[in-house]
Amino acid sequence: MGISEPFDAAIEALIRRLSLRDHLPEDERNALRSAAVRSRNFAAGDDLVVQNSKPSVSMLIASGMVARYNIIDDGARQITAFHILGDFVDLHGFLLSRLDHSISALTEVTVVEFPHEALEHITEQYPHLTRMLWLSTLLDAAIHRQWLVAIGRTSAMSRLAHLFCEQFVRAGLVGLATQDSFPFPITQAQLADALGISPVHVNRTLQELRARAVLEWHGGIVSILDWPGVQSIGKFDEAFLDIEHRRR
Amino acid sequence: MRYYFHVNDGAFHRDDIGYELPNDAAAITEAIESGASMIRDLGRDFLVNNRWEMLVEDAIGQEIYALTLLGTSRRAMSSGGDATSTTSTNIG
Repeated sequence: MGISEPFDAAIEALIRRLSLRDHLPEDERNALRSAAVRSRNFAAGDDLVVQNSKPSVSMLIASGMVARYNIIDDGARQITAFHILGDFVDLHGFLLSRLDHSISALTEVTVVEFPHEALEHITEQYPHLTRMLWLSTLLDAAIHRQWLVAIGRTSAMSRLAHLFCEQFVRAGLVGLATQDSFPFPITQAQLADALGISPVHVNRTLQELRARAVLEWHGGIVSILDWPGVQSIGKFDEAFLDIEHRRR
Repeated sequence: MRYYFHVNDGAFHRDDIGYELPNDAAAITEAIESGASMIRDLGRDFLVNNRWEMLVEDAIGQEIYALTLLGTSRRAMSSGGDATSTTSTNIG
């Protein structure tokens, strides 16, 4: 991998994701490119950031998949978000005094780091880009709200289908999905931690989705067999991802 | 050790995949937590069978635990409206 490769991968994916919501002029793109200073690699299972720490950089994913999570008293883990290529895992860590959760690598992960001084410089020099980064954290919050509603009020089947829909659309936005599949390289236990149900219930729910011939999950790849069918089971409406090109 | 969690809710749903857990105690905890959320998902559909059972089997096919939830209507049929009725019956 060349020196610039993780930088290009991460930043171009971020630009691609943001550009779907509004035009990013060249000077703003360059501001992002020059704000990232170094790349870091993590092995699966490593923590990128630990709860209550005070990070001085924010990390943008160049490859791999990470989870935001909190540890419950008995050692159990609740995953509150998944992140992939082009996602900032802790942009909110720029302004929060301490991170209220940890971030763990689910696969091998490469990130590029944005020092908080560089982000501060962007906020002072580039008001539109600042709004776009603000939008990025608002989208994270919108996804959290969907998870909250799903965990509190919907069946495991609907919740799982909704999560697969969300991941499929998000992977597609950064070029990681094919027309009917996307990488989902996590374990059943991690999926259970995200859905707030036991692994055995995840197992049974996956079998039901397979029996309904709407999707399959094999070898870290989710294949969508019936897209309208999965969306209907998950009551999925992509409006919360706000994929609308307009002035922001 | 691999454990299998079969469900009987009127139809028998065999678990052919199973799940790796350290011991019987962990498998029983898993059954309780899975059962609780599966029954939550059933909601009113529970009334179709009024009985729900999860059988936990170990790797050598021995049943080690059964979790059963049984619903019984206590209202006499003659008084109008049984537990599965969807008409508005004064239950209080």
